[in-house]
Amino acid sequence: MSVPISEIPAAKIEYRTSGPRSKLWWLTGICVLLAIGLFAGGFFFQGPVIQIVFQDGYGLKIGDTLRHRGVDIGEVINVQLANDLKSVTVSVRLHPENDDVAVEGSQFWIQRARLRIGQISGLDTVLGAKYLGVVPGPAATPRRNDFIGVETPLGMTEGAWVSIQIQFSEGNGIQIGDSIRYRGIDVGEVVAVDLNPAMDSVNVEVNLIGQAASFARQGTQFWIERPRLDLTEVRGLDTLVAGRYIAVAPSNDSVNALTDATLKNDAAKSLPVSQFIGLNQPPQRPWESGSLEIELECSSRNGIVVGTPVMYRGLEVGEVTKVRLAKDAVSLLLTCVVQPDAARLVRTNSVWWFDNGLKLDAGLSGFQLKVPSLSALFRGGVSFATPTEPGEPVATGLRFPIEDEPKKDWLLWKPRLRLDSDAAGSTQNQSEVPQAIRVVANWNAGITGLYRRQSAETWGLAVKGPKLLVTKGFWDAAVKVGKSVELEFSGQRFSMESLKAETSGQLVVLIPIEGVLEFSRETTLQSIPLLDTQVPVLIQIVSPNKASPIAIEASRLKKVDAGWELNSSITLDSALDGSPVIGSPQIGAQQQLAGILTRVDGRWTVVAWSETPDQ
Amino acid sequence: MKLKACHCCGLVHQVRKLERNEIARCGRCNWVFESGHADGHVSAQRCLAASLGGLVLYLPAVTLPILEIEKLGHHRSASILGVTWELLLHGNPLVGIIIILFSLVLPLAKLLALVNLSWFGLTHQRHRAFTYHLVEWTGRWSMMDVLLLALLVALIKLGDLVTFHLGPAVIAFAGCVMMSLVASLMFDPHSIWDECDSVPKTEG
Repeated sequence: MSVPISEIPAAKIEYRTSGPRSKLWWLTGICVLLAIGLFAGGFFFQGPVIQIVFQDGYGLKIGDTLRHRGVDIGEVINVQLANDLKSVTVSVRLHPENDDVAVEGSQFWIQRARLRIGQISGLDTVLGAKYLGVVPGPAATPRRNDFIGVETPLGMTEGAWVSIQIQFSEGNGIQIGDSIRYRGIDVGEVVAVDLNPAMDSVNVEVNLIGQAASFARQGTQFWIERPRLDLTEVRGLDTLVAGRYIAVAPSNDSVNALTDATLKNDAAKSLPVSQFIGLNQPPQRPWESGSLEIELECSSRNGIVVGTPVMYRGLEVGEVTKVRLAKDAVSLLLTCVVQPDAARLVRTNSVWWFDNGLKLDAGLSGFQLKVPSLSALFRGGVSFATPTEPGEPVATGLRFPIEDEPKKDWLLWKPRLRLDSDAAGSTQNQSEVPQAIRVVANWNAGITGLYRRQSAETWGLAVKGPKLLVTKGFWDAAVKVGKSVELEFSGQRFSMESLKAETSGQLVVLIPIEGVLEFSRETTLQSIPLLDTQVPVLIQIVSPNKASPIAIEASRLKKVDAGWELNSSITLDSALDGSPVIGSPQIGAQQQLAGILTRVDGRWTVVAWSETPDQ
Repeated sequence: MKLKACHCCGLVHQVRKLERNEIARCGRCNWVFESGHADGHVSAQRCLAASLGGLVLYLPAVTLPILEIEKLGHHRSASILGVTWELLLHGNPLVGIIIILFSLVLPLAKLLALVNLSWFGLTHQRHRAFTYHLVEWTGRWSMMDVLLLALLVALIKLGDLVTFHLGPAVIAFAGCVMMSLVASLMFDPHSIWDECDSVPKTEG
């Protein structure tokens, strides 16, 4: 039964209310742009690719980063062995904004964990990925895209590399990555260590960097510094912990230096020196000028070896440098070198003896055991003494006999001998150096019954009188604290009331009201003539804390009323307050007392000391 | 005058030929079930635009890196293609095949079928019918959006253990999924049949 068509309802016809529908092609356009943008962002905005050649890849992987100052600036995109299997080429893509790392002189290394005694670094790479480190070369150098990697970053980055080969008879545990050291800093590194083809020596290839590249010249000596702990020598102990290094002593000869320039033109006139023979022992240390060398003749060695100390009153003043038979083999000759400042202790009538080991005196009256210092026990010793009336100073090379035992009265001699510590023309002058005395002020300070002992220190000078000269600043501060202050110096103690103070300018002269100041024999009363108002050419601040005086030239002094003011650019330790200052109107003239160093209005000033007329 | 059923409630109506900007509504459920002349072309074009856009974005979505993981300095960046290739070779080949099928092949097939479908006048009606069935079927089985959800889950859960970066492919991937959705929305399947109706019948 079919449905009549009239029963089928008619659809409602309406007008479309919404506007024409867009064709959405703009959406396609957006998609295309997006796709292009994503691809382009990936491929076209990548930075440059550089290649670095390393000796060892150390497990570097694709995806590891290049880091500088802790920030990622590139990625490894390829790690490949070279065709001859002797090196590894690492390709690194730099971030586009960091592409100025790829300049001449940049150093790249693979940061890996290094765990040696004394050197622990790179621990984050033990678990984490290895990364490349870089020290960029100096700015404004030409760009390059291929580099030779280094093992460790070196301090000096300027300058080119120079590669040299050193042949040692023994490797002594030198490894790739060990450093070459000169004057305590790294100037190069070991890049390869292998046996000679003839198997009789070890070839060590070394890169010298920066100014040390000029060490590659004739006469430079290399040796491996390693701990030596034997009965003749104790040295190199720092290498026990910190690892071995190759030490270098550059020669004074400056011709035939191996530079980049000589590397470039092969037809150079002078042969570049790139092969060296390394030493087994460090070279003889050159002695300071002014050292005295003498010879001792003895019949048997008595345990003396090279390095045995030469002692005066138990203090080391030199050492034995050679032990050999005399020409006719009748006796032994020991060559000793005495340090320059003790050279004047040796006189023509000095006596020498062996002073080593325990001394055991056993007799009916009992035992006597004398034990020397541990180093003397270890190395033995040679001692000398000079009679109370000393003879003439000794010329180099004089030969002395040496006894086994000292005679009893040798140990009782007490000659007064002057040690000259400054060499600049003062051997004739015999200028005295004023000795400052330590002055300590003690007082109790505190509140409501809780007292604490406080102290302040300064330097003072003993002057004719005898009187003590201190700075006004110190004295005023002591006065301000109050009556409870006690001053101590030279083993004596004075309260404030028992001292009379005379102020003269910025200095205060102290005299005890009762009694007399006593100073130790070493503190000579000030007898150096005073410098008058001429401007000194050079002043020296003498302080017992410092081995040598601090010299200041006249150009940094300004004459003021109180004395001479030091240029404000000079910084001095505040512990120097109160130190005596000597100066001279001309170079080489006798040193005279210029005054006392103190702070006036916050600036270091040398306050002139003028004796009061009644002294 | 022809008879047409509303595809929402099924009521049969008599519909005359409609002008350009006229629409026919169902009497029972008020759904628009017929539109004016050449309206099918518009919808087809919109579908074509969206599916072409989806195809264009499909390429970066699968080739560019989609995520970058960094842990203790170890960097790994993965694209969908690279990851599925590795899964096939080194990991679980079964999982790899599943991912390739449902997240790579079928979505691509759907997009291509949509393009084919909306390219009017090129193919025979029966072929278009087959293609339309294909579109419907692949639409059910393509799971690109599931992959996107999986990325979101990984981002949240692994974010504490590793440092997670979403790569450039994520934008392309999301765009591709969206274009795919838009294209299938825009397509009016009745336009396939309307073409046939425009062919004059041999009998009255």
